[in-house]
Amino acid sequence: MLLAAHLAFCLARFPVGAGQKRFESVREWQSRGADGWCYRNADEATRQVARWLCEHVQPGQVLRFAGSSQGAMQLLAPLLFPALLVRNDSPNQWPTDRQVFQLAAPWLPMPAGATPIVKGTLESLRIEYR
Amino acid sequence: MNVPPDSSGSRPPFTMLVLVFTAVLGHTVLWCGSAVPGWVLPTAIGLALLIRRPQWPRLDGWPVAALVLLGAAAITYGSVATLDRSWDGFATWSLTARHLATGASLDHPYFANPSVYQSARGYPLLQPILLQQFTLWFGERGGRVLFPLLWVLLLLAVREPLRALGIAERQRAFAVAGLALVPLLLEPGHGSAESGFAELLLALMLTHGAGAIVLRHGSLALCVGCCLPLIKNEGLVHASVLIAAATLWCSPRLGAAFALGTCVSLLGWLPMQARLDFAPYPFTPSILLTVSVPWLMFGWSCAVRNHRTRLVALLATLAIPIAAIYLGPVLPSSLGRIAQAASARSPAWGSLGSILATLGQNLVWVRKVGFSYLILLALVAVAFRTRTQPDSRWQLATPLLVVQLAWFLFLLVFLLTLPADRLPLFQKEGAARYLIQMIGVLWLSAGLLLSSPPIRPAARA
Repeated sequence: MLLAAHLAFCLARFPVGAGQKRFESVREWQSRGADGWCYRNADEATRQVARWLCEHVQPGQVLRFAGSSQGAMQLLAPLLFPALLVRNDSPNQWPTDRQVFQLAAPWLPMPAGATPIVKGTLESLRIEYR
Repeated sequence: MNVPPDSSGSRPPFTMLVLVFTAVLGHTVLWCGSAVPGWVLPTAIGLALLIRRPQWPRLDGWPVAALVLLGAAAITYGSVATLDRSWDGFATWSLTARHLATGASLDHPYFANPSVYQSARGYPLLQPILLQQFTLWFGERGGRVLFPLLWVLLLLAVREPLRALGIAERQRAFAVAGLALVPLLLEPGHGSAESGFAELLLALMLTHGAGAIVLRHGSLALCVGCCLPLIKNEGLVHASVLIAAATLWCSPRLGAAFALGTCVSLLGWLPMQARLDFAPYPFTPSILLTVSVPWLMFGWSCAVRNHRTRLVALLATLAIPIAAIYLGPVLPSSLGRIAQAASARSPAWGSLGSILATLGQNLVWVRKVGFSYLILLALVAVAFRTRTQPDSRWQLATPLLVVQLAWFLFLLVFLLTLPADRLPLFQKEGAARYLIQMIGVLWLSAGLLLSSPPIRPAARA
């Protein structure tokens, strides 16, 4: 009886669970884009940072980061692939064959001589200059 | 029925051989300082062909075949339509595969530069290597067809041992259909077949391990032992439990096959993991100690099996937790991390109730696992009552039930030793995924127990 219940329950779920739910998640991913999907639960400023970085960081570049390596930062690394994130305060040398990302964010004036850093927390991303 | 066919002379399934050869070739090439080239998978297929011809997959009856076809189509669509839509798959396993696919060797900054961000440092590489190979041949999206393929192989890994044991077609069909419909794997979300997590590959390997036990299949056990530590860090825990179950309930020879495979695999993998973790030396006493874990488990199991040494071995068992606490800091594996956590802080006994509730909830969470665990518990209850009858399959299923119980107890200890700030996340996200690793073993056990002999009046009395 339990086996029949299992088969009946899971079969009944199939159209919605395996079909509709899947179509909706794929459609949402495609309409939002990878960055929009990954940060769909984050605040607007985080989505703006992610979108801008995805548009401007070049494959051969490295982007400096600070703050928490957990949370929001975990999704930024695959979004910027094949560009790399490097820890700003790391005592180790960064990859020497790559250029550091230097572009200023349009919504935040960059002081002379500074470079942009993405700062992460568990839930958010922000741009800073150092 | 209690005596399984002698499989000592038979060969492992073709796909299992392909996995082993891909693992060996891929890791060897990485060790030699090169990127993993596209010829690894075809070569692995060629080598597997030398040992065994592939068989066209067969399912029991058109309803099951249609169900599997529908499920595979849905998972294929979800896999190839986008990149991973789940956190861990996107940020860890598949990111490593994408770097490997662009020609990264272990000298690439992603692996070799400590200042470069990597959220999966030191994670095993078998799934990334497989995905990288598929990506090289079928493209970034097309290569993700690996996931529905693994899902179908999981179903076949349940079906084939049941067929080899002469289980009736109807029972096999129920077991395969029951597994195919498990929502957590079939539907999109964390831990699903298309999520890019390594749980599916681990579940496949554990099901093959369970198959090796019920079929007394030494070479399959060797292959499973080879692959387990290369899939996830907890592979060593699973391998240790399989070694003990095989030795105690089947034969020391089978246990030795599991132990040999695991040991060889650890010898190759742990120094590489040390390099990925930026450890100063590839071979350290702690690595050698971890490599000996399979043989220690095998020795302990042999001692328990032997009537003369059983009492001493069981008494010595009491010393294992104490030894684990002291040896924990030098074990560079998941076992070591847990032992270290247990010694650094006392287990969170205050959370025991909540942890048990979480695990219990996940066992009966029908939206995730359907009625899988309830079915198993009911079958175990019936099979236990008829275990003395001549055609009972209780003996055959016992080691598989022990493997599942051991994993449940291990999860309990693991969650008890987690830091308080990480426990809620693991309770919410991790528990279901960890339990799903055993889903193939569960349905294989269910397939064995599905038609236990009817309860006789004497047994009832």
